[in-house]
Amino acid sequence: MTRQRPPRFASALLDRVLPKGTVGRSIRGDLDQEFSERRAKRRSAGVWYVVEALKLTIRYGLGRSSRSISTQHMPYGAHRVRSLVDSIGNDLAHGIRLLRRKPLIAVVSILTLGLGIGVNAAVFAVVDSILIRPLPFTNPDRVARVFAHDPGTGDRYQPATVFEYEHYREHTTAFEDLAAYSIAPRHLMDGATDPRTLSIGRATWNLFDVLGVTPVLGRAFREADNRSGERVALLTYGFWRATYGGTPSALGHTIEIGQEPYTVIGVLPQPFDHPPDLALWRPLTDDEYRDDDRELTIVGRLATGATLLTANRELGMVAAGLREQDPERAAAAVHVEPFHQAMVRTVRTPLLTIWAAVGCVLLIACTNLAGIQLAHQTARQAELAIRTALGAGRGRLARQVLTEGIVMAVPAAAVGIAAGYVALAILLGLVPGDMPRLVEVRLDLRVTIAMLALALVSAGAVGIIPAWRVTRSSLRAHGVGTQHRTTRPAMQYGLVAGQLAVSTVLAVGAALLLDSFSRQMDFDRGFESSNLLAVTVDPLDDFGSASSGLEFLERLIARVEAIPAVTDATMASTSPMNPLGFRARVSVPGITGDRNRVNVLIKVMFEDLFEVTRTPLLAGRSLAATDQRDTETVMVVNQAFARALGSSDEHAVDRVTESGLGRVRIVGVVRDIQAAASQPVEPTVYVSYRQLRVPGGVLLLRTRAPLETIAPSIRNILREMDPTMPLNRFTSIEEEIGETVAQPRFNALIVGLFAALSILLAAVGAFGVTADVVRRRYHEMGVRQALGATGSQLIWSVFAAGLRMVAVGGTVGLIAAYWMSRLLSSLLFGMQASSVLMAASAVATLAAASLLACYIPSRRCAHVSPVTALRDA
Amino acid sequence: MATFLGEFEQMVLLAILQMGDQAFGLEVRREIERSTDRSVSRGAFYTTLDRLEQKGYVTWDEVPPTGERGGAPLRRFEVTGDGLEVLRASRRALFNLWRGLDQIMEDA
Repeated sequence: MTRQRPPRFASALLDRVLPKGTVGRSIRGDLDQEFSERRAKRRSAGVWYVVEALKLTIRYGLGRSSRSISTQHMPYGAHRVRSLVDSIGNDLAHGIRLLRRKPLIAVVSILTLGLGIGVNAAVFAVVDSILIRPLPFTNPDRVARVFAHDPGTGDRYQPATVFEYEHYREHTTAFEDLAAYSIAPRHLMDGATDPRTLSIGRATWNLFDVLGVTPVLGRAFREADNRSGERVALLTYGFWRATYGGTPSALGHTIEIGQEPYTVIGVLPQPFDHPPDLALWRPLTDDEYRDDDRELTIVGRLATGATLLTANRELGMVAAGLREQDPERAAAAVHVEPFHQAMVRTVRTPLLTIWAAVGCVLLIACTNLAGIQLAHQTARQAELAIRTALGAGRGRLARQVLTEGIVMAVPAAAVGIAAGYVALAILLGLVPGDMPRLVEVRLDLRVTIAMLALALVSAGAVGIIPAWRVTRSSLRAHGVGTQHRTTRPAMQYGLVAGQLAVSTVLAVGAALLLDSFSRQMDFDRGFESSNLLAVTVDPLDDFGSASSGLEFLERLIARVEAIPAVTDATMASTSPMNPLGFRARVSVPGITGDRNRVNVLIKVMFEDLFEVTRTPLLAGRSLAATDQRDTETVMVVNQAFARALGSSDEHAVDRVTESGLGRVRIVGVVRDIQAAASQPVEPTVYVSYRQLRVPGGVLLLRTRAPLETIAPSIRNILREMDPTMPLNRFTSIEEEIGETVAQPRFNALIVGLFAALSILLAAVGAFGVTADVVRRRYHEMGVRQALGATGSQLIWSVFAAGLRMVAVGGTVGLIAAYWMSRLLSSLLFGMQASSVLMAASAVATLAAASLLACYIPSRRCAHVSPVTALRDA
Repeated sequence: MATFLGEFEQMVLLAILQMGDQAFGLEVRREIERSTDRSVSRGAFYTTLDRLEQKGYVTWDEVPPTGERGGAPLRRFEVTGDGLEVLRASRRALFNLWRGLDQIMEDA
């Protein structure tokens, strides 16, 4: 028989961990001897040996790091560190034992903290990627954006014109260089797919040099690209992946923009996929260099030694000089902002608000856990008293309680990161699509580390209040084995009152945001939006000024009106929800002062537009089919135009205006159409397609059926009439309205969710503290009942404390909420009586929920049996 | 002030004394298990022996290997004079504490 050896890896393990020399070899020998004896008795020995070896490994492996090394020859400091490490090790082990002893409390605590960390992880991932991380440029803090100020509206965030850009670029010394770009939808044909309308960036050749961005493939633009006449394009990363599968062979391909062929010369890194449908960049054409549209975004890289302050001062003077030269065309003033700041300007406050809200939720969750620990610790007072008697100092006890809290942090962080992925996916589904840098959002190592730190801090914070209590209470002499009875746990009530205060702030905030959102959603827009559909009609051939274009549109309207579910159809240059369009400066002879020049938005329409949109005509007449090229040019204006003239609606009619359109007579005034509540109505003029030829526009349909059922018929008609037309923009006006309120809806939804969560947590906290008080006063209740107290008196004696707690928390919360509502004002669409009503009902809900949570456990007082209570005491 | 021993330390010292010149590690552990009718963790046993040795209550000498030990040496343990002294002190303290409690213990 061959001699059986113990499993080799187990022996090797023992050789590593056991002490060297005779001691270790003899211990190993003892184990080997037992192994042989077991084999001889035909008992299972292999597994047994491995288990025993592992036990010894744990004992000696851990022991070597903390216990078995002699501390005799250590310097004093090292000795202290060793004993500290030892005792923390003991505390950790003790903490784990305690968690295992109370599995329900452990699971509830870890889940509460974990979910709190999870939602924080998701929100932090968004905030970090969008607001905190530097942009993926070379020295991103040197890149700045130049804004023009509109002299009319005073808006400080206007784009610039080519004329201004070239002047600034020539005269600035504070910038190494200035570049400019604009983004607009264009037709795209790449041969591979149907024609599409996608966003195209048009940039000066130096844009990517100024930003400090290198293409991931190919090259960036060169100065020669503008002049050589060869048309080149840089693809965005997303478009490259979607259209060319991310292969390098995309270089050299030809893409048609409009009807011009462009050659792909490179691919940009992913962070440039904004807006999300941005397909490619091309250099500005010479034509575009000559036009005067105010649509250019100017960016610059600060020169060495220059600061934002000097750049602002210098460019301000340059702009003022230009304004003196040409007051008609130049912007009123300019200012310079860091590029990143300008990019996130509109989303910064909403994101910070959401971050604060989610932080409040975690704070409330931590407070709940601290409450649980406090209640639990009261039950443990005997154990702590024994430890004190055995010589544990206050610091030592506090450290123990604190360590126990931290034992929860690691599993909670693990739950948190897992929950974070889910929460982030949900959050990204809700975020408005136009939020910048969204493609960069991810939950990565950086977020994970931040959340682990947050878990440790939170768990530490949870432990700190009980720890503080220990340092105070251990001064008192506790009789071993007796339970210290605090009938009025002021600290626990204080914690819940704090939770209620924070919840009140969140509830009021959510109510105000919800009210603001609903008022932005449901206000009178000046037209009827229900059952109104918009289809973009964007013929590739712009028909020049030929009448074939007009005929095409008339034929299209006639065919669409023949669809049974369509009750009415017409066309306009843009949807009523779209504030874009041609702009012009109109002068009105006969009006005195500075009111005789008005900046207007021009919309082109067919005569039945106002009937289809159901916009009331207030004075004069609408446009008519008889208004033709050979008759007098006429227009209808909106109320804002009449107001800008300082005239009444009736008096505006029949005035003759002068502008780039020539002499145009005002024939009527219609109600203002307002797309978004937060946007002022611009003076707008409506001109007929019959008198101003523009290609395409938006087909507006009043229907009896939803978009999905009608879309196929319309698509067929458009395909038949023009096979090259892109068909990617079918929406209902209700959807377009939804897009305009996407940001307020997101704010209200997220803060509302967090507020609901915080109310729930606060109610749980109120329930917990009351239940704990009832448990502690059980004996007292028995005595009082024996002495003749009624059930309702007993209930009241507990409930009254809860009522006080709710009152204090609510009052503090309302004061804080008042202050918070002022911070929030930039996100709110004014404040009205309805806002106060909404906030009051939110606070009432919170108060009712927490009072109910106090009442339910207090009812137990009425059912205390004196006999049981006194016997159990 | 006399130093006191932990319960397990006392058991280990007493078991060594019981085993006399057969007080090898494995035998001492088995003696404790036999007398107390409970299993003794191997790790706790060896680390206690190390501690008792450090305190000077136990010494050992190396005995050449026999049988199936893969050539590993045996340690034969012996209680030192200090070890005996501290055992006596522990016994005295326990006797003092037990004095006069016979009545209660029999009632219980």
